[in-house]
Formats: sequence, C-alpha cells, structure tokens
Amino acid sequence: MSTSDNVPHQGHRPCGEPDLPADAEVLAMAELLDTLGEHERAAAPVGFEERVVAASRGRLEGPRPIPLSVQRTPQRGSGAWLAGARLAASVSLIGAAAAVWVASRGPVSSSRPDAMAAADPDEVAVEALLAAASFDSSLSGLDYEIDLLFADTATFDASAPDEPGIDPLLEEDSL
Amino acid sequence: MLEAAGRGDDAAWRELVRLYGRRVFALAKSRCGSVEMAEEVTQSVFVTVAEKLGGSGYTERGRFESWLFRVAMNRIRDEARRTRRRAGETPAGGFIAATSDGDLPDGEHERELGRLREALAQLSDVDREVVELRHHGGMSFKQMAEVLGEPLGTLLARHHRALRKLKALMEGTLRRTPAEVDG
Repeated sequence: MSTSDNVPHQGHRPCGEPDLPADAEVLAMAELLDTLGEHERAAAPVGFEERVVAASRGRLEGPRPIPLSVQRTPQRGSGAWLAGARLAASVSLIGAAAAVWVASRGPVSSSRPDAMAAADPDEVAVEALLAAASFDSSLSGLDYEIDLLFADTATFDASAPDEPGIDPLLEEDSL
Repeated sequence: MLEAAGRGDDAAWRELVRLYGRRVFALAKSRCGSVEMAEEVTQSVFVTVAEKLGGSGYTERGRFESWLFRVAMNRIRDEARRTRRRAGETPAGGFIAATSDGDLPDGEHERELGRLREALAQLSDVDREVVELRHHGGMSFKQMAEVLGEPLGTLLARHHRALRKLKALMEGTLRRTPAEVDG
C-alpha cells in the first residue's frame, strides 16, 4: 500500500488534504518509507492471518458474561435458621436496652469511685448474656455456667480478704 | 461488513482481518522489532476489537479504521513501555533499533532499509508515531488526526519535519565508516 502519493508536495493535492512545500529529498524519503512499510507488512509469517482469526473469532460474542453466582445454599433445616434469627434479634434487643440504660443514668462524675463501680461493664455483659439466653434456646445452660463463675469469684475474694486491691488507687487524683 | 462481523459472521471477520491485520502487524513490528511480538500484539488488538464489536463496546460508527488503529496504538504503546522497563531506556526515544528479526539485508536496497530502520528508531515517539501510522499503517492524515487527537496541520508539519530528520539521520549513518561502526 503506497502512501507516497499522499505525501504533501508541490503540484499534487490528493484526497483533499492540504499540502506543505516539499522538496525532492523529502519525497524520496517518503517513497523509501513506503517501501519499508510494504516490507514490514510482508514480513508477517505464513499463517499469520489464520492465527489472528483463530485467536479472536471466539470473542465476537462479546466479553463472556459472568454467570450469576447466586446459589441456593442447601436447606439446613428451619431450626438452625430460626436459631440464628433469634440470636440476631436478641443481640439487637440487648444493645438497645443497654443504650437506654446508659442514657437513663445520665452523666456521672469521674471523681466518684462508686460511679465507676455502678457502671461495671462486666455486670452489663453478664446481664446481656443472661437476656440472650432467655431468648435463645441455643444458649441454654449459659446461666448455669455464669452462676459457677460467680461462685468461683466469690470464693477467690473470700480467700484473700486482706490483700490490697485497686480501690486505693482509684482514689488517686492522678488517675 | 462490520455488522456482519459483529453478529459472528466468520467470512466478514476474516475479511476484516485480511484488510487490517498486516497493517497493524507492520506498526507493531516497527515498534517492537520482533515478528513474534508483533504477531502477539496484533492478535491482542483483534481480540479487543472482536469483543467490542460483538458486545456493545463499539460506538464510533463510521470511523472504524481510526478506532481500530487507536486500539492498536494504545496496545503498542503499552508494549513499548513494558519493553523499556525490561531493557532500559534507549537513547533518542527509540526502544528497539533496526532489524532485530534477524533478516540481514543482502542488497544495497535492503541495506538502505536497514539504515532507515535505525534512523526511525532514533526519532522521538511522537514523530515516530506519525511516520509509522502514515507509511506502515497506510493511513490518511485525516485518519491520523482522529487517531492521535491532533489538528491536521500539526500532523502535516510534524510529518514533514520527521522526514527531514530521518534524511539527516540517514546521511549521518551513511557517513560512518565500518570501522567507526565497529569502534
């Protein structure tokens, strides 16, 4: 495919393209470049077009759509699903109750040690777990475990009544 | 033909590859140097074109050739960047110089083409693209303006300047003796 006839030069204006002044050297260079272009096009190896067709023809259907990967999970039985739902509902309810309870207490002064004791997060957590256990049968037995923990804690406190705890530290202003 | 090819018509698609395949190949070979890489680039260009034609990605009705060569130039530039990262930047903007496909020229005309390839590799990327789209891709200046997004006058001037530069580079190459080349 020759393009030298389109190279801008004086006296010839093919394809409606504007010309720039060109001399014989530039025209000769354009012809040489045309020859190089033909040479490069002819350098395509045997079977080139067949391989291009083979590589690309299958893509004419467009990018392969990703199949919908919505798969129904196997039925696990309504009991398990209901247990999950109950647990989620319980957690939500407990969260809301805890938020209401904290809000109803109003701001507490950090200089009062009894305020810290009243807001013991362990108690809140225990209450939350007990409430969850009341909603969810899958947590049955949890209250018994918690009772045991309380009993162990009480036994531990009784065994070391004179040991200094952290209460004096709490009264330090620096804390 | 485009519509037929887009519908999966085998004959139409073959005709498109026949019309444009070697032109894309020549562009890629000039930039990448090797026949194998040029064929790989050409295949990937036509894979992209097929996907766009077959799907809904081809929206530039009436300007298929410009669009195809824009896809090709983007792919060739990507490959050029990869090659540069692997081999390190070569001077004067060319990243593959001369005939790396091993076809050593045996006549004076072939030697002249070899010198022209060397000179082409020393042009800046922008000048080189104009020359290659014109003479390897066989495009009109109007189509080149669409592909490169440049005004027609700018491309005409750049092409003219690039040809003068090539001439000067080749004369410089011609003046070098074999001893200078070896040394």
